[in-house]
Amino acid sequence: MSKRETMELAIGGEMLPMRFLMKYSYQGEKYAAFTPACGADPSDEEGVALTHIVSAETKSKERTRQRLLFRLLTAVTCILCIIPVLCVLLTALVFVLQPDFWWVGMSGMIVAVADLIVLIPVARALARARKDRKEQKRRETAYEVLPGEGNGEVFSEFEIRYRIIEKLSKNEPLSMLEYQRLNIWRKFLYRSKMFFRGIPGWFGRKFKRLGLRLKAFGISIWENIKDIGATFKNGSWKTRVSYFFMGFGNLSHRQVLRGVLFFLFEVIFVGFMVLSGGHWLGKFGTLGTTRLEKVYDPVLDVWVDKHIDNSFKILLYGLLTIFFIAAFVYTWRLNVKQCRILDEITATGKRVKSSKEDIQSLADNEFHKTLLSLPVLGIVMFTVLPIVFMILVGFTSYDFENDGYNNLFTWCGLDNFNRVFAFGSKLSLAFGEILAWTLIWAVVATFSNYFLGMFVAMMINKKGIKIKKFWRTILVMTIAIPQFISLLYVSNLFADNGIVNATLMRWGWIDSPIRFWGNGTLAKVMVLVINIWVGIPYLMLITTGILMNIPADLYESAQIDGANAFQQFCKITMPYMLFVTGPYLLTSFVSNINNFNVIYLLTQGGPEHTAWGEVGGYIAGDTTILITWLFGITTGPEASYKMASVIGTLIFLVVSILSLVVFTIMPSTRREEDYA
Amino acid sequence: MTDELFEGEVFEFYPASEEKPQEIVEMEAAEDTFEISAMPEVAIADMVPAEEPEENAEEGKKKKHISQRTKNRILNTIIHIVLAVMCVVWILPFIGIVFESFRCESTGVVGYILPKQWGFDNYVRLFKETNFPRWFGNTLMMGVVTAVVQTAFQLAVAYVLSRFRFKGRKFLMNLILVFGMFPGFLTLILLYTWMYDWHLTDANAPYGLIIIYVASSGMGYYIAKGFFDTISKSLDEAARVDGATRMQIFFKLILPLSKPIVIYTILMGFMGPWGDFVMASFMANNAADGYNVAAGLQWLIDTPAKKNMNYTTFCAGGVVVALPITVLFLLLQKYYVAGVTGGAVKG
Amino acid sequence: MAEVVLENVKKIYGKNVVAVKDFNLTIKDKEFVVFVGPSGCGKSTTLRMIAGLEDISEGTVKIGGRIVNDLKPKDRDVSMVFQNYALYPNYTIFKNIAFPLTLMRIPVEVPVRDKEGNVTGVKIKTRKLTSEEIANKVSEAAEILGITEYLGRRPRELSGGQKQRVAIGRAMVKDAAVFLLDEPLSNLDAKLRAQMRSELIELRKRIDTTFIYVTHDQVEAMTLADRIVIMKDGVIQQVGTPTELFDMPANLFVGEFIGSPKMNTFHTRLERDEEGYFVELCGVKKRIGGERGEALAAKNIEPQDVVMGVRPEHITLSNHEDKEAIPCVIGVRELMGSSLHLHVKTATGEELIVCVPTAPFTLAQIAKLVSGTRIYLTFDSKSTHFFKEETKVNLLVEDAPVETSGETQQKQEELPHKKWHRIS
Repeated sequence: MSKRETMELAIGGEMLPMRFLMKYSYQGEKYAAFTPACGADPSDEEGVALTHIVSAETKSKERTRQRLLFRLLTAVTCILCIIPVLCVLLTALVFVLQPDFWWVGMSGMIVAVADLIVLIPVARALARARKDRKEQKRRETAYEVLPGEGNGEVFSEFEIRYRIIEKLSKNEPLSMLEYQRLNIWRKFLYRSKMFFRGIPGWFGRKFKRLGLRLKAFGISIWENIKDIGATFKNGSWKTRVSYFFMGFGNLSHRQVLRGVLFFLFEVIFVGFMVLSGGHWLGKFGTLGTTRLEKVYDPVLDVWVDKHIDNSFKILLYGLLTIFFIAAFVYTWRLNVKQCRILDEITATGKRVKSSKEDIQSLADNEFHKTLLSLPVLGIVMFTVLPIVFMILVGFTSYDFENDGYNNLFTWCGLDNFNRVFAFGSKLSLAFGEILAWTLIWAVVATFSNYFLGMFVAMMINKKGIKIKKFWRTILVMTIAIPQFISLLYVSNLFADNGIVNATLMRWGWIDSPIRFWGNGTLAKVMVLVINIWVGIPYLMLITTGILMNIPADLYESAQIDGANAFQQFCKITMPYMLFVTGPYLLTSFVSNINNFNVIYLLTQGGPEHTAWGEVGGYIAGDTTILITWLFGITTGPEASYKMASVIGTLIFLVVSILSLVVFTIMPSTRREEDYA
Repeated sequence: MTDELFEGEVFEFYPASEEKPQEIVEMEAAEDTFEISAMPEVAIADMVPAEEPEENAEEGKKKKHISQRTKNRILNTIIHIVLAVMCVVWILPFIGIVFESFRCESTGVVGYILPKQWGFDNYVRLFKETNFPRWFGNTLMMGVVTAVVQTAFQLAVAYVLSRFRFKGRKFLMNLILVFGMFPGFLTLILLYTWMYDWHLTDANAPYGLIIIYVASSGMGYYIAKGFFDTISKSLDEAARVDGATRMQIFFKLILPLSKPIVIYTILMGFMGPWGDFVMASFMANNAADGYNVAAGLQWLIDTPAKKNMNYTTFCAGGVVVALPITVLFLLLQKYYVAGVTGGAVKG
Repeated sequence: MAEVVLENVKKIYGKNVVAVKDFNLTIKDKEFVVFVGPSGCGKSTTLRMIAGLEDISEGTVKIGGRIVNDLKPKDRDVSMVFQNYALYPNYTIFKNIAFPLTLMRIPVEVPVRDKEGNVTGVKIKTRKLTSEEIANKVSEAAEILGITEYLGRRPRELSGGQKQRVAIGRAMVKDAAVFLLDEPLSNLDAKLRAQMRSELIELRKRIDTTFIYVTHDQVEAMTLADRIVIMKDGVIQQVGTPTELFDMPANLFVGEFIGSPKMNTFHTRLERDEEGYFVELCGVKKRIGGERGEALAAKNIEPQDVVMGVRPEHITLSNHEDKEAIPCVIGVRELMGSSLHLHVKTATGEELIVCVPTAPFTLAQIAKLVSGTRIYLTFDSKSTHFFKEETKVNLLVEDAPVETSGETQQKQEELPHKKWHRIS
C-alpha cells in the first residue's frame, strides 16, 4: 500500500462516515424529487418554472394555452391603444396643414372612437386572463411545496424559488443568497428597482434627521436659556455680578487668568460697540443713505464735499460686528457656565483649578485649543467671513459703477439670481451652456485622467518592463515644473503661427493653419487632450502606490481559479481601485470643476461667443467654465461683482449637491472612524 | 437498546488491576487485521484521481507556457515603445522651452524648434532689463515663509482632528469641508480691499499674499490627518502612561515619526507661490515690483505686441524658475510620492 | 506597593451603551489579578479606566487609598504594557526604556538657609533624573529581561518576543505601584507565548508589585493568577483563585469558559431517593455520592431540572460491565500526544468530548480508538457540577451572578443583513 493510499484510508476511516452520510441522505431525499422540476423553462415569462414532476405534462399544456391567450390579448390591446393616438395625431395634422381634406380627419376621429369602443371588452378580457394566470401560478406553487419532513431549516430548491417570487411580487427585499440565485438581468432589475424605491426613503430619512437635528438644536438653545435663568436664581451673588461684569466669578475664586481674560474681552467688546460697531450695524439694513455731505471748512471758508457712507465698508464692518456679537454671546454664556461650575465646586469643598494649572493643561489635555487657535482664527477671518460677505454681495447691486464709494449700492433681493434664471435671456442661455460644459469638462477630465493614468501605471508596473524608475522619474519631473510655464508654452505651440502649424505647413500637409484655439469644438477637444497631458503623471503616481498595495495573493488565487489578465483587471484591480480611490475621485472632480489654470492659461476661455452677451464687460467663450467666467467677470473692464458672487454661489451649490449625492452613494467614504 | 444503533467495533477498557477477559486479549492479538473494507467507495473515487488526464494537462500547460512567453515578450516590446514615445511627448515641450530660451535671432513666437542662432541674450535681458530678480526674490521669500507657517498650521489642525475628540470637532470638519467647496477667487475682491487698507497690495503685494496663503492653510489638513491616523493610538496611550503631556507626545513622538508628511507639506507650501498666478497678479495690480514669477512672466507676454518682443525672454525666465524647483522636487520625490499616494487614499 | 479598589465602577459609551456595569473589586497589595473573559466583555475597558486612558462614567477607582478618577495617567503611579507593544519606532531600545525616566521628576529635599547660611529647614522640590541614574535603571531592567545586547537597535529590528520584553522593561523602570498588562502575549505565536508565560512568572517574583493582567486566554489566567476575575458583558461572573474557579464555577458560563476542552453539559433532572441523589443520563441511572452528594444533602437541595456539567478530563473509559457507564460511539478523534480527545455521540444524540490520557493504554489500544468504535464512559460523581436549569447558577454557590443573555451578540448578527440591504 502506498503512503498516499494509507493516508487517505486513515482519513476516510475517521472522518467520512458521519459527515458524508448526512450529506448524501439530504441530497438524496430532497434533490431527487425536485431537480427535474427545476429544469429551466426559459420561455416562461417569470423566468422560473414551477412544475411538479407528477403533473408536469398536463399542467404544462394547460399553461401553454393560457400563455398564448394572454399574449394574444396583450398584443391586441396594445394595437388598439396605439390606433386612436395615431388617428388623433393624423386628424390634428390634417386640420392644421390641409384643412381642405377635413373628411380624412373626420374619418380618423370616427375610427378612433370605434376603436375605443372595441378596446373596452378586450381590455377586460385581458385583465381577467392576467388574473387567472396569476392565480394559477400561485396555486401551483402553493400546493407543490410539499417536502413534508422538512425540519424548517433546510429548504428545497422549490421552496426557495417560491419565496423569491413571492418576495419579488410583494417588493420585499431579498436576502443575499436569494439575490444571488437571480440571473444577471433580474439582478440588474432588482438592484435598480431597489435603488429607485430607496430614493424617497433616503430623502425621508435625511429630512427626518435634519428635522431631529433642528429640534435638538432648538432644545439645546432653550435648555441654555433655562440654565442661564436658573443659574441667576440659584447662584451666589458673585455669580450674579458676573452676569454684568464678566470674569468676576473667576476672579473671586482666584482664577486670575480666566477672570482677566473674560473681563478684557468684555471691555473690548463694549468699547468696539460704542465706538464703531453700533454705527455699522445701524446702517447695515440700508447700506448707507447719504454718500456726500456739504461740510463747511472754516479754514478755507468754503463748503466742501465730505464722504459720509461707503456701502462696501458698511457691509463689511456690519458683518464683522455681527460675527463679533456672536462671539461675545458665546463667551458670555461660557462665563455664566463657569460661574455655575465654580459655585458647585466650592459647594462640594473641592479645590478650584489655579491659573498655573490652566496654562499647564493648555499643553496637555487642552492642547488642541492651543494648536487650533491660530489656524481656526485664520480660517474664520480669511475664508468664512469673506465668503459670507461675497454671498451677501450677490443680493446687492454692487458692481463697477456702484462701488459703494463713488455710488452707493444697496440690497436688491433676488434680482441678480433672477437675471441668471430668466428663461430665454442671453445670460441664462450662457449660464446653461457654460454649466453644461463645466460638468462635461469635469467628468471627462476626471475619468480620462483616471483611467489613462492607471493604464500608464500598470504599463510601468508590468513584470518585465525595464528601467521602471527612469520612466517614472521622467513623468514625475513634469509635475515639478510650474503649470504657467508649460501651459503657456503649449498654448503657443498650437497657436496659429506656432510650431505645430508651421511644421505641418512646411511638410505640406495643410495649406492654412489649423485654428486650434479659434474653433469652439476643436478648442474644447484640445483643452481636454492637454489636460490629459498635464494629469497623467500625477495619476500615475497615485495609482502606482495603490496598485502595489493590492495583495498579490488576490491575483495568485485568481490565476489558480483560471482568470485571465483582463478578467483579473475587471474583477480585482478595478473594484479595489474604485473602492480605495473613491474619495480621491470625488475631490478631483470638484477640483476639476474649479480647474482654473488649464483653461485660463490655454485659451483664456475663448473663442468668444458674442451671442451670449457680455457680463461686466467680459464675453464668455466656448471653453469658458464657471470658474473662469467668474474670474473674467470679476476682472473684466466693468467688473460686475454682484454677478460674480451669484455665479460663485451657484458653483458652490452645484459642487456641494454633487458631492453630497456621491458621498452618500460611495461606500468607501464612510470610513472616517475606521482610521480614527 | 443501544446495540441496534451502533454497528462499529466495541472498545472496552478494564483498569490494570482487573483481569482482562479472554476475548479482549484475543482481539488485541488479532489487531493487525484491522478492517479497511468498510471505507465508503465514494471517498476512494474522490480521492484518487485518474492519472492519464493529469499528464495530458501538464503537457498542454507546457505548450501554452512557451507561447505565453513569446506573447509576453512581444507585449513588453510594445509597451517599451509606447513608454518611450510617451516620454518624448512629455519631455518635448520642456526641451522646446529650453531651446527657445537660447534663441537669439528673434524674440517672438516662431514656427521651428531649433534656434538658428544660439546665445545667452535672453538671460541677460531677463536679468538686466526686466524686474525678474525682484520677482524671483519675492517668490522665494513667499515660498519660504509660506512653507514654514503653512506646515505648522496644517500639522496642528491635522494632529488635533486625528487625536482629540472634543465638542465641535465634527462641526469644524464640516465647516472646513463646506467652505472648501466655494471657489477661492470669490473672496479676491474683499481680500484686495482689506489688504489695500493695510497697504499690503501693489508693491507690497508679497506680504499680503503670504497672509492670504497662510491664513486659511489649515483647511488643507486632510493628507496629514490621513497619515497621523495610521500611527497607532496605543503609542499615544503608552506615552501618556509613561508621563508625557500631549504637547510632548506631539513634538517628541508624532512629528519625528511623520517625517515624510512634514517634508511633503513643506514642499507643497514652498511650491505654491511659484505657480500661483491669479492671486499674485490681482494683488499686485499692475505694480511690477509686487509680482511673483508667475505673474511677472505672464505679464511679459500678456499682449500680442509684448509677446512678440518678450517671448524668448519669458522662456528663459521659465527655465530659471523651473530648474531649482525641479531639482528640489527630484531630490524629495520620495516624500512627495508618499504624501500624494497616502493622501489620495486616506483623504 | 498599593492596593487598588474599584467601587461601583461603570463605563457608558455614548448615551446607553454600557460596557462595564457596576464593577466592585478590591485588589490587594502585591497581588496578581487576571481579568479574563470573551472579547467585548469589558475587561480591557476596566483596565484602561484604572490606567486613566478612559474616563470613568460612574463610581470611584482608588490606588493606594487615593481616589484617582480625575488624575491623569501619569499621576496615577501605574505602568502599562500594551498588546501591540506600542514601542516608539523612532527611538532606540535604550531610549524607549528610558522614556518614562526622562519625563519623571523625583522629589528631593533642599535645605533652606537663612541669610547667614545656616540651615533653617527643609523644603521639598522635584528634579529630573540624571543620565547616570537613567542608564543604571535601564541596564538593570535590560539585564533582568535579557535584552542588553539589543539596547542600540530600533524596535523594527526586533522579533515579537523581544519587542514585548522591551515593552515590559519600559513599564518596569518606572517602579510604579501598579503594573497593568493588556493582553501582552496575544500577538506572539503559541510557542513563544508559553515561554513568555513562564518568564512572566519568574519576573513577577523579582518585581514585587501589584499586577493587573487582562487576557482572553484562560490558560494564561489559570497559570499566572493569584486571583482570577472572570467577566462577561461587563459584569463580573466570579472572582476566585484558579482552583476555586475550576472546582466550583459559580455559573455555567464560568464552568464552560475555564478549562479546555469545554465542559460537557447534560440537560437532565436531579432526583432524590432514600439512598441519596441521582440523575438519569442517556438511559443510565447515575448516583451522585461522595463529596458532591454530601454537599447537596447538606444544602438540602430540592429535586429539580438541572444542567449537569462534567469536564472532559474527568471522564474515563470503562466497560459494559459497569452499570453506570454510558455507551457511546466515537465520531472524531484528535490525538494530542499526551492525551486523546474523543468527540463521541451518545444513544440519545448528545455530543460529548472526552479527554483520555494516553499513558495507561498500549499503542494497539490507541489505534483501535477510532471513528465508529463503541466505548463506555464513566466519571466520578465528585467531579460533577450542577447548575439550575433556568438561571444557570451553580446549586452549591450562594449569590452567584445570573448569566446574562447574549443581547449584544444578537445585534451583531443582524448587521451583515442590514448592510446588504443598504448596498442593494
